[in-house]
Amino acid sequence: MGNSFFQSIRALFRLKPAQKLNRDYLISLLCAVLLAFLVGAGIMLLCGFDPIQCYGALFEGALGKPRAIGNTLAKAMTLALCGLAMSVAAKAGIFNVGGEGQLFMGALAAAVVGAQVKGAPAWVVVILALLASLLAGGLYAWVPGAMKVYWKVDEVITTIMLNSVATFFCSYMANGPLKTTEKGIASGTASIMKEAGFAKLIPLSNLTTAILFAAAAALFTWYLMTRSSVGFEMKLTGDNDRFAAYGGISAKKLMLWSMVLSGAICGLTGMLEVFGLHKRFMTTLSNEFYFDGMLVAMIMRYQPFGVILMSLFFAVLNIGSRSMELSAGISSEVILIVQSIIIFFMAAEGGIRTALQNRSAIRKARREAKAKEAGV
Amino acid sequence: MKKILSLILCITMVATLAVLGASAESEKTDALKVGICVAGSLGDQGFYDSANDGLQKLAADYGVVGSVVECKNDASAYEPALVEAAEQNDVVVAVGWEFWDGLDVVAPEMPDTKFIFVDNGMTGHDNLLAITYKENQGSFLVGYIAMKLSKTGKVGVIGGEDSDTINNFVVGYKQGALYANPDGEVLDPIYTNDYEDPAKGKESALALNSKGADVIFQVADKTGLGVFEAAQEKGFYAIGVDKDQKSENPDVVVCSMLKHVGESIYQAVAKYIDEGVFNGGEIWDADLSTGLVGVGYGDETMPQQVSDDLKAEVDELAQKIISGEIVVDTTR
Repeated sequence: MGNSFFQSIRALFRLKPAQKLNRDYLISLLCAVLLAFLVGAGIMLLCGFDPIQCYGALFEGALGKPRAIGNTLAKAMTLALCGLAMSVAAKAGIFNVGGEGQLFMGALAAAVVGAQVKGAPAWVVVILALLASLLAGGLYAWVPGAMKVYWKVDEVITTIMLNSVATFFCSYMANGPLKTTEKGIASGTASIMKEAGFAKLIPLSNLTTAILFAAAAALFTWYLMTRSSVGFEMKLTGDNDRFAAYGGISAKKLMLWSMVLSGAICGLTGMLEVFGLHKRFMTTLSNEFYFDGMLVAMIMRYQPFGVILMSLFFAVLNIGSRSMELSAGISSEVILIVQSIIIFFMAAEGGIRTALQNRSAIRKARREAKAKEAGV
Repeated sequence: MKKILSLILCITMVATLAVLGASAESEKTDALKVGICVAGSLGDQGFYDSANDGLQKLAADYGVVGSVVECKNDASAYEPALVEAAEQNDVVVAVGWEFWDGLDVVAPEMPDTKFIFVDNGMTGHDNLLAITYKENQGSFLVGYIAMKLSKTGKVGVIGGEDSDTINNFVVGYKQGALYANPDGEVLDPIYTNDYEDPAKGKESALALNSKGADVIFQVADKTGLGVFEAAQEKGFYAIGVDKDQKSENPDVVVCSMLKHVGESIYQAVAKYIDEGVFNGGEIWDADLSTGLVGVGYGDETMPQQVSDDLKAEVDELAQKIISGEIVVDTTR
């Protein structure tokens, strides 16, 4: 993914965060999705596969069984939390591209607490791990946030850099000082207290009680962003921080705290991955999840509700593509293409729409002119 | 709200249509279904591709229906991939230690499916056959060759990570090198902690070369390809791993330590098809005598740095290892 992702991110940054999620935009989104599916179908045909069968396998694989739905929901949960983290910061006009690193730090902190705190009841361990992950993620976001607010260091650069620092640090810890002695685990920390891990809601699926924590976090974020005065202040700051400061809002503080909150949500995501799925820290715990979540947030223009819905859709694609690979035999890369096309169209959406509108306006004007001529 | 609702409705409509279209089709065949789960992605010219080669061979020889799931190093996909593969296949092959935790959960839940876990010595499940390789024995042989070819008396090794499996190569290599020349020196291994980055492999090889090593063994999958590049530049020798990598650069790669993952999968499944025997719960430790581990020198068209005499010595040593006359160190 790497480079192409950064390119699409760069393209998406050109979108102004303040743009609304209006009817026109949703129609474009729907068109983009349908077009992407059509292109995907074309590729499948070219490769000699039946698109209807492939897409059937895709949706069947993502929604056909309770277990599949569980996996899809779990994936959507991760995506949505990452997307919300991005939205919270972006709303206040600060771009957190470092969620991946914050997620890793949160996950490592949670895994250490989960493994080292012994003799305490399970719920205490969970709460301690929760706090540790929030703190780790928040602190790790505070650094670039403070640099941006006080010294005007571009946060996009620093957060991207800090991603590498965090992933390498965590990789070192998981392969070095914190490496487990358990047999068969080549890299990873010791497993957490068994009872403290989240229970599975659907057997053999990835859906655990972690989703309750995620739901609480999502609700809080949604309330904060759309229903509270803080959310309004954030919006003002994001639109124009100098104006906001003139209006009596302490814009700097607000930006910084949005960043910290964003980091804390990422940390929480990491903790949920550890306690829900792996029961230990692994370096493959997140495979650029945050970047996927970020793209979802950008496509949905940082609207919390939209982010959650789009996460579900992307989760369906992600989970379904794997079982499509198994049952229909076509590579899951096709679905990556479909996703990329959606993102591509949405990044170009403004331009395409203006071009179409211009063309239809010109055509209309010509027709009217002709009608006038004919009339005369 | 209304708009978003209509959006969901549209998506659901497309989805249901697609599902309905697909459910009409479902064919049944008697052929054995084999699914491979790889932790990373195919295309590594090594470990994963080798497993896939075994599957393709099975499909060609036995008409097995094969499929591959790539987890793309996404840890949340390991367990679901196993479950899904187990539901749709008779035999599931897990390639990568990353499946360890997942198999512990999934294997008991899916008693009707046979699992094969390559490169990991997992026991305790009746439906799971673990295959491990005596890479230390093959590494002993290439260590011997390395020291014999070395002019400085110093040889080196580059590992992908500091783990038991990789160190099993390292200890064998070291012992073989010192067997060839007790006064020689095997430099401390460099671990790249990365299997995907040839640039790191190159830097590590240059570092070892600057310390005097003039033959370097790479045990780092794709990262190790950089070792060959460094060898070309500085004019030292390199030794390949897993597949016969002499073809990558015949001038500097003198030989390769072979570890035929795909072939072992092929043999295990073929045995199950032919004889109905599946040694679940056991560890099949493939050693030199099975031919799944060994030394490869490329083909005749390539320049041979290893003389025929030396090759004969190596064959002799191999026999001694198989007969138990030489006991090779191991980390397992």
